[in-house]
Amino acid sequence: VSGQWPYVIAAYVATAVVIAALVWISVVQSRRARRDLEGLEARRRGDGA
Amino acid sequence: MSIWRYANPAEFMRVSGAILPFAGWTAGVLIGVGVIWGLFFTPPDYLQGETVRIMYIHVPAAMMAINIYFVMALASVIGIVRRHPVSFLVAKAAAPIGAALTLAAIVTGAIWGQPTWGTWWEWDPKLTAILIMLFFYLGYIGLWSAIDDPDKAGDLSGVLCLVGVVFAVMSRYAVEIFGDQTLHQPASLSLDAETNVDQVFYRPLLLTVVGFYAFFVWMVLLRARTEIRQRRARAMRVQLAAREAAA
Repeated sequence: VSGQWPYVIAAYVATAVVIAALVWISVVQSRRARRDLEGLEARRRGDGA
Repeated sequence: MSIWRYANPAEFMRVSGAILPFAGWTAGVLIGVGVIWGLFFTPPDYLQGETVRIMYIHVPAAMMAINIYFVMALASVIGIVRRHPVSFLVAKAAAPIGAALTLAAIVTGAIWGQPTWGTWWEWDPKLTAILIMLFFYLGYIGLWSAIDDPDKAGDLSGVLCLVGVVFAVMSRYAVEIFGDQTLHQPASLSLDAETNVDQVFYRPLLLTVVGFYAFFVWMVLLRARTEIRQRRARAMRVQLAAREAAA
């Protein structure tokens, strides 16, 4: 039975890698989009002044 | 009050901003507790042995892979019929989440299949349908990124998504449709309590399933908000360029 644990560990590690990659990409894209938008809003305010 | 007011991007940003942290924390806590419970505080199965523990991530990943496809299809229909821009954005935001969870379901299923069935992969109706569904996810993501005009991209990828619904239905109901011809066993979670797994496995499984739903809500809102910000930024760049050209 103990010989089955490597399969269990491999399944959890594979899932963790896939989910971590998705979260990482999503959070980075979100931060970049927010920063871009804030920069553009500041530029527009500066232009309008 | 109409539900369609949430299709307004400003209203969507306000409501989703309030839900986002709650969904993220709920997902983290439920998946964390469910996984620890399933890995360390449940017994091995009398037939599957320790590999039954793979179920606590495989079942929610597969369930979400299929359900996210249905969410995308519904959002695409609403986008195509009612022309609500947020519908297309939600479908677009959901696709990478669905693709990632489909991949996780296929990989964990293969890892479970080797010690249990004696094979990593079998061209069984359920497995084949979910693999084709993964290709539809990838095709959908590719089509969105290949077309510059967001309205056209939403329409065309929405149609592609609707074509692929047949494989989502096949993935969900293959065991019921094909019966003995499938290697895959019936659903571990069902509204019919008689067919459910034993209570000792059911409780941690329920936690991870609800956790994966919360994870999807968190991710789809985060990604849809990113899409809205990117669209606003694009529109603002055009405005600024026009203003600079006029000055």
